[in-house]
Amino acid sequence: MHIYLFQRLLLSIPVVLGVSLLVFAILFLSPGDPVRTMVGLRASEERVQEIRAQLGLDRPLLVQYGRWLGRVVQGDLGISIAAKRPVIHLIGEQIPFTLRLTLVAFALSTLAGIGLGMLAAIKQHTWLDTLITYLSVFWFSMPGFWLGLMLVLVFGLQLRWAPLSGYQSPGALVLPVLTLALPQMGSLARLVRNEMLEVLHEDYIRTARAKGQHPIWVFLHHALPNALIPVVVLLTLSLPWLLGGAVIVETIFAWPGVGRLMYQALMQKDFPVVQGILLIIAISTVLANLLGDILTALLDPRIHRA
Amino acid sequence: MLQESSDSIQETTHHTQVPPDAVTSRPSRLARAGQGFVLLYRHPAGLAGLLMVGLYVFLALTGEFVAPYAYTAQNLQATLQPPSAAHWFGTDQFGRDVFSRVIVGSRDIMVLAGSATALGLLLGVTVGLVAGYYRGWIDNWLMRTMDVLLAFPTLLLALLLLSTLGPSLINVILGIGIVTMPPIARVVRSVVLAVRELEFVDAARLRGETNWYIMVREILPNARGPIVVEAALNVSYAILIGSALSFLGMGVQPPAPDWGLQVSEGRNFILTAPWVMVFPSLAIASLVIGVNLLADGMSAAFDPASTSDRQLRSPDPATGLLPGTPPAHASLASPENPVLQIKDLQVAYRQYGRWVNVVHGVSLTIRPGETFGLVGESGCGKSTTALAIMNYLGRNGRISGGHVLVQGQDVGTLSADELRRLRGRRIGMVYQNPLAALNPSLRIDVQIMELVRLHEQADEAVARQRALAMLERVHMPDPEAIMRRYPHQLSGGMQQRVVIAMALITNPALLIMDEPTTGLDATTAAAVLDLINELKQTFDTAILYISHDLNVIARVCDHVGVMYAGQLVESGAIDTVFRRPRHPYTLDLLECVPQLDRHYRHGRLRTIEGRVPLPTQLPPGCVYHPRCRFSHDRCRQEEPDLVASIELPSHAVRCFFAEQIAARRSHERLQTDQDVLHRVDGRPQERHMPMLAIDTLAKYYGTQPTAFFGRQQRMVRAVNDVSLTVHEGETVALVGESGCGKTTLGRCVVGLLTPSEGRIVFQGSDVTLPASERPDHVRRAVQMVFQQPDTTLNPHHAIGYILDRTLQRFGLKNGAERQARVSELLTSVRLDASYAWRYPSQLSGGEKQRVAIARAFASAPDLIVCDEAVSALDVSVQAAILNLLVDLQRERNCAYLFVSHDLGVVRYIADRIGVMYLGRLVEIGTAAQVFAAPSHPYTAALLSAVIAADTSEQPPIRLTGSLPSPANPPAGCPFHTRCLYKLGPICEEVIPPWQDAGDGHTIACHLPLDELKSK
Repeated sequence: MHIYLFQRLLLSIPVVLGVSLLVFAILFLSPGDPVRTMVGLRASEERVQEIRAQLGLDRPLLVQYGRWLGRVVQGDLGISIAAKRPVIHLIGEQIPFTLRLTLVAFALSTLAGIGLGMLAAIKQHTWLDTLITYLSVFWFSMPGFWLGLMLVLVFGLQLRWAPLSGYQSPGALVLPVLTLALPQMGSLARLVRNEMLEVLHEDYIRTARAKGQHPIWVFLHHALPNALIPVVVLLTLSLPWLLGGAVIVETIFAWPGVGRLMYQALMQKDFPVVQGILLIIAISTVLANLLGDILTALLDPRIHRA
Repeated sequence: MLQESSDSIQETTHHTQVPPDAVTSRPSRLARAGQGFVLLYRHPAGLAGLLMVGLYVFLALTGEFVAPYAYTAQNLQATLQPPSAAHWFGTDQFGRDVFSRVIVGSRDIMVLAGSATALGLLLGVTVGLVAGYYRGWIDNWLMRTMDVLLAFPTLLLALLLLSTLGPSLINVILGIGIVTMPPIARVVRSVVLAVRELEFVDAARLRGETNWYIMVREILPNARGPIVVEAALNVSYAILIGSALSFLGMGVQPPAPDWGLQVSEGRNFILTAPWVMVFPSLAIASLVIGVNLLADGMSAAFDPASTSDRQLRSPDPATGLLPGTPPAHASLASPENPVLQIKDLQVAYRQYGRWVNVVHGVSLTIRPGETFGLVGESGCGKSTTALAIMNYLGRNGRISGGHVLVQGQDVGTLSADELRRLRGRRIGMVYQNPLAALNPSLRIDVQIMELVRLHEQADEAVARQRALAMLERVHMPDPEAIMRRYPHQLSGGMQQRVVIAMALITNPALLIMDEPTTGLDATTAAAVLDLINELKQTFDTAILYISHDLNVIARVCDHVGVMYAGQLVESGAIDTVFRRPRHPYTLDLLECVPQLDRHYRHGRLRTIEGRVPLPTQLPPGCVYHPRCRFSHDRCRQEEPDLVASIELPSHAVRCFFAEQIAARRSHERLQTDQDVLHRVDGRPQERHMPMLAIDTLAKYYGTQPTAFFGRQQRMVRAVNDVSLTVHEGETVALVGESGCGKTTLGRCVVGLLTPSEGRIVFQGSDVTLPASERPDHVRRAVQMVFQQPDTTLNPHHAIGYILDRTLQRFGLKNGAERQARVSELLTSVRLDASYAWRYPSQLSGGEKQRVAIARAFASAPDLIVCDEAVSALDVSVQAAILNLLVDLQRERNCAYLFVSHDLGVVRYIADRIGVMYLGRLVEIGTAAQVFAAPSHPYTAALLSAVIAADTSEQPPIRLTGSLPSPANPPAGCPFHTRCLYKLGPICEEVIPPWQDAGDGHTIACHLPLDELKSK
């Protein structure tokens, strides 16, 4: 198992490097002079040169990348052009808001998704199964912005059950959390149901039933642990979404999080902020993948006792 | 939903089993595509999705003609009007008709989603194909690049691309295309990795196809299903991302009637005029739902995982029950009473929505301590009968007549709770594939102990003691350690011992064993059979033993029932049935099986024409008459009953002519015995140059992790220091158990593997090269027949194309000539020329293998490597293929290198035999030499494993310990760790010399020949 995890760890090194290279390259992807784009057309040539030197853009690309990477490793993500403040501080201020939103959504979608998926599998061939299956397709087919706006329209404006924006009261969480959680719940419920049904057709389930075990025991003890292995991977893969997947929701509900920060930075072409956020999200994805591998290895004896 | 889909798949698999004579028309590609639509049609949700998507496609095509207003027409007098007859969906802030804008907007989203998906597909398929096909560093780099792309949330990545490239339709398409590429690349790669190992790809390599051809024509069509499903999902994804981008102002720009843009604009009027936003939103949502439902339907249609037989076993004990008459608990078990009584059992499965009987009136009785064997070819209803005993037939099956009494209790009348108490406690079950039968994520102790705890309410400590004791009784070495292991950590033989221990731990009255040794190696299977025989003595359990293997049945059973097409056609004591069969099917089965005293020069094997009829197509009269060589008019009209014979009441036969057949049999038996008397042997060794000379060949596999850094070198020596010759027109067999390297050696000879050391000399020239680098005339001359009939032919190519392509590759340019040759080849393998138009799915296993043989012979080769070519076939089909191979060899003077684990088959077909163990040859000689003393101790053990214990004078030789890992083979003689005649340190240190036993018979052993002779 240690060898397996070591391999996984090694595999993620080139990916992290690739990610950093791509993030670094953002500056050069946009047409025209990136510095000119940043400071605007009316800025003086001296100002442009000053920024250029400040960013080290007058040096060879490889050197620039090396220096940039060196700073990033030390936690220096540069200075926001718009806010004139260190990017790391900007992100640090916004992350708690995003986490508050997305952790609740993650917990809700995980519990509801696994529960509904299991229920559908137990009740296969009944109306309940059909209902859950169709609702899952419905939820994960919903565009996030549509769902958000509909919830606002129905619960915020018509019924006035929940506040529309703001982030101080716990009630303010309800609509954004639902907007985030429902599609995720739908796809999770679907996956859990399909995995469960697949496992229920395995020979060892027949063995368990032939032993005379009670169906509930067969389900929980023999089937569930095997069915959950792929589900855990999906869950870890959705972790990065905790940090950055909330662009639309935060924009709709005026929620002060990383997603909205990213959107604003893109609009203002504030590239250091964009780079910083992307880098953090992408590296957390790589780490989440690693976590998924570790959990799979722990859950599946065929890996950890190979 | 799943139910529906698997039903429909089940039906198509039955479609394909239509007997050959019933299919006469040409199945076109169109018809095969149509089959997909039929599947979709049976999937109501998928159909609904298709209709929804169809509606939007229609609107996209006709947009301007259907829309009541021009989508740009402003009317500033009528802004933000609510829905009305004139404006169904109301008007927006410029007074434009929302309905018209939604309709025309469908085109934009279709164009966007379609192009983006196409782009993503093109990129993803290319990357996946190249990465999966070439593997190695290309794969590593491409996949790590995909990982980098996947590390960014798709919407953010798309936003980023657009913010740098600038918002425009083209850029949106480009952006979405790039972000949807990695998942497709991954899916395609995994399919390619699986398909590239299949045998039809090997066959393409052997005819020297280019990598490009193999990727595009052989592999890609097989990835079609997953690609289509993934593409459909991507369409919905593209719609979602595309409209999200427009919503955020980074996508399509105004005044385009884009749905996302409309939602974004309408958002400002959400209070005063919600319709401006709601209707385009609904359009997006309904289109995405439609696409997702369609994708769902398609994945159900393409998914092979939900195929029929799994569904048949689908567990739902509650619904499998017969509506209840009160249970007949009356008679309690006593020693004299039968444990199992089956009376006129009928079992039905649901097909096409109606019930079809698959077991017809089976009756049998097993008393305590008796072992009853159920034998017959696949599809005869053996396993179904076993499942019916436990009333475990699933939703699609039911007991439709008769009774199953277990200790007097009718299982058909038991409630779900009563059935559970029956299973595990009074009926134990042992299965064919022990690894699949054990739960991979639970330790062995948990799996055994739960039975004791459940049925005897024992506590943990007692259950543990019992489990340990039981493991000891099945001769498990070190039970304490085994208890803590997981199933995958045990060898196949040990896994089966665990399953047997589980079945016996509650001391059940009845034990059902369904092919318990079929997946095991010969020597392992022999040890398990010994164990079963031993346990029979100590436990007073009644056993129902199911097997297709007559030899195995003969070794463990007291009584036997022969099943054919759901009927019991003959039953009685094992000796009388096997020595004096009275039913033609039993007789034919017995004569099909190659015996250890039979060689092809003694005569052809018995074959059975035709195949087992489908339950829906049973012939009138006797079910066996269409295949029976003794059938009369009466057999075609009347159905015979199972009648006890006059002299032996326990021997029952379902045949009108049982007495005649019994008489005829004893007469024929005499003839074969006489044949054996002057046993003819393999042809004498030809003195001139061998056609093929394998010289000290070795093949090592390095097990390398696919990491960027630090590859570990753990060598597996699959083949080690093997020298062998094959002469013109000769059949040389390689025999040994799995992992002995015989297949690797065969693959080296044809060039599918490159040897690590040593040389292969063919017709005087060194051909130690991969197939792609061999000169055309060598490739032509060395061909191969593969093991698995199901993967030997590309399911997407017609039989005619497969043969035609081979002829073309080997230089036959003229099309008409090739067509004539295809017909000729098909005829030579005894298939009708019209088979050229068929697809592999329309052929039976035996027919596929015939086509594979025709393909191998297409290039008029001098040597064919047959890799387990008959192992996956039923005995009657196997006999026919063996006869065919013998005939073709006679006609065309082609040599065979025949790789097999089956000693009977090898004895029948081979002129010379090489025995392999752990990568090394241990004995070479003619068939007769190898099968008689002196022989290598391993050969002796192998032979002893397949000979019934009571028929040979000597006690059986049983190997102990498990096969050492080829990664770490023992030094010296590879067999010394398990050899019963080990001399001492010399065996552990020195590789044994080849000893000449005369006439080309050589043995690699330290023991003197005289001693080997007396063993």
